[in-house]
Amino acid sequence: MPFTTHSDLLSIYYRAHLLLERRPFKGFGPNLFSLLHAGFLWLFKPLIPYASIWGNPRANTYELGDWMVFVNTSYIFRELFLFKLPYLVFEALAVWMLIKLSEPDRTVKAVAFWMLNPVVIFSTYIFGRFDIVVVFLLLSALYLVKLNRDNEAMIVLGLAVLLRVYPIILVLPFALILKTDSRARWRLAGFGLLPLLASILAGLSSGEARAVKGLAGMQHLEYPLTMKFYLFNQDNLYVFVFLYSLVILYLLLNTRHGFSDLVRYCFYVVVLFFATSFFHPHYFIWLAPFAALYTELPQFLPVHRLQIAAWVTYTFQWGRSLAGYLLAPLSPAFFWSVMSPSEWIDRFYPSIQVVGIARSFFSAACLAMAYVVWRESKVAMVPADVNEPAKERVAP
Amino acid sequence: MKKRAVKLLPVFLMAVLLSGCVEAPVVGQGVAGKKKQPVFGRHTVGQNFEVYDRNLTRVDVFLYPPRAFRGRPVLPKESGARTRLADKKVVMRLYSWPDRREVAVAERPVSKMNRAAMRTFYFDPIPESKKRSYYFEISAPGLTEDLAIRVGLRYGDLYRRGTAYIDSRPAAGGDIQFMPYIRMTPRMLLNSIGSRLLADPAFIAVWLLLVLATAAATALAWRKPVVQR
Repeated sequence: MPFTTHSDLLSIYYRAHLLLERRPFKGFGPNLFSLLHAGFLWLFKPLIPYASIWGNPRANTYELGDWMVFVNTSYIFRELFLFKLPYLVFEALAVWMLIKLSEPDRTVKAVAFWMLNPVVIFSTYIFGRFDIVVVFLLLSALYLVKLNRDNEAMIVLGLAVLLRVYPIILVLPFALILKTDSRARWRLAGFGLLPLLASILAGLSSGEARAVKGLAGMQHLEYPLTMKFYLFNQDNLYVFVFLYSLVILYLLLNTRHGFSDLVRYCFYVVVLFFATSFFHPHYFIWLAPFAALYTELPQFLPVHRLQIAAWVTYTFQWGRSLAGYLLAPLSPAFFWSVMSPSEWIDRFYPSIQVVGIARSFFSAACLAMAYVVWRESKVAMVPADVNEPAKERVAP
Repeated sequence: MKKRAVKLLPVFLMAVLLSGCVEAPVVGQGVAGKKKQPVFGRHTVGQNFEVYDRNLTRVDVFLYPPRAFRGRPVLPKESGARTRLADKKVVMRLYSWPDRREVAVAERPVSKMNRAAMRTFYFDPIPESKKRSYYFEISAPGLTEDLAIRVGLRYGDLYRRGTAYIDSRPAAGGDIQFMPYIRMTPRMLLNSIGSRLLADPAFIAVWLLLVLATAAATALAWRKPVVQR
């Protein structure tokens, strides 16, 4: 926790610092996150040499040089620990939610899966990104569904959408599964989109039209569109959109209801996203809350392990920034110069092909996990006796 | 606390240590210069700098190729420049500073410098380089002005512990793009990590207590079901 970092950790806290100093900063992004981190920063400001962290006092964005200076400071370990401490709190809350969501006889396995999952460790503590907050909100939304508080669940999901945008792909499955009536579905979807829309409208009304346009133009929004088939002229078939549409249309044409169906179809949507879209390695934690609820399924964990191995290889494309640089706080001069896995592979074989092969396997593993879950759902639906009605499992 | 992440660190460190020494950069100055200062004949460009550890072994300098290349990977066979550059070298001389005692010399052939890039000059590790100042000078005595290599010079004192020199005279607060390297041995690495950990002993002590408390709590929780049985 105190020994590793990616420069993205400093970037979010740098914006928080600018907020505390009441200075404008570049970029739109979810201001709620910046406010949250400003709160964290304000809390432990007395415990760190605050003034020496931020580089040029006149700058309104941090630069790579600032990160290099940050990593070289004497109190770097303390600063990293405190910067990540809020994430530990949110992770504890996420684990608590997981305990609430899983069956009593499956809790230990689900929690062990979570605590020992390399993806969770990497995303939250090695890379140091705030996705654990979004994961906590996703789990909270699921828990509220379990308590039959659908409206509140959608609001919480909407907060997750506001913070990270990508959970927007879960709004429609939530709405379609939680309600069967069209009006109710529209209402729920509206609740799910309300925080994001309110934020955009607030931005527009306060004169941040350019920033809103900037948000729409963010490269991240293109990631789900990266896998495509070119047809002709301006005609492209985007694979994730195609498959996602199939899922949504299936839910429209077939009634699926209940908590276990909700978890299952959210799982399908998320694995489809990872199978077909470009993503940053720390995003992979978004699968973890759903995967944690399926750990007892036969062959699920072995496939997931293979998936993680492929994901590790996938990270090689980021070179040293996801290799030695992460350990720079321990010894900047040494770890900045350590060869990355891709550089080592390039000595023998093009690393770009190795990454591509691993990525292809990763996508296959995603679909295999979806198959394992689907297969189990079919088994669960088969009646034990032909005279008895099919009984759905209460929990996945 | 994620003990597994901490457990992975020693494994990683061992793998690195077993792989041998690593050339680690001393913080130099990585911004390319806007003014391209030619180096040829008696004209030289130099830079003084400080080294924080032992085993200085390498200096990288950003060099622009002779204009004759004009973006081409190789010079045409019929080109006179190719013949003239065939045996010409860029020389890097390293001196202790400020006494200007020569400590190392390294050369690179000019004919292979077909693009602007950081060029590496290796020399035998200097064991006594810790907390010492050095000065390196780039020269190309066999080149003429039309075949000169060029060094990027930037004004604005980006590297505060030294300055650039043109023809042995200070370039008034300018710096060139350069990076010295030390050969870091496993022992030096461990010393480096140890000294960084000990720079904030209060935090390390608190963190160790937290880790031990977490480990103890986990062990107790793990044993409890066995005791109950």
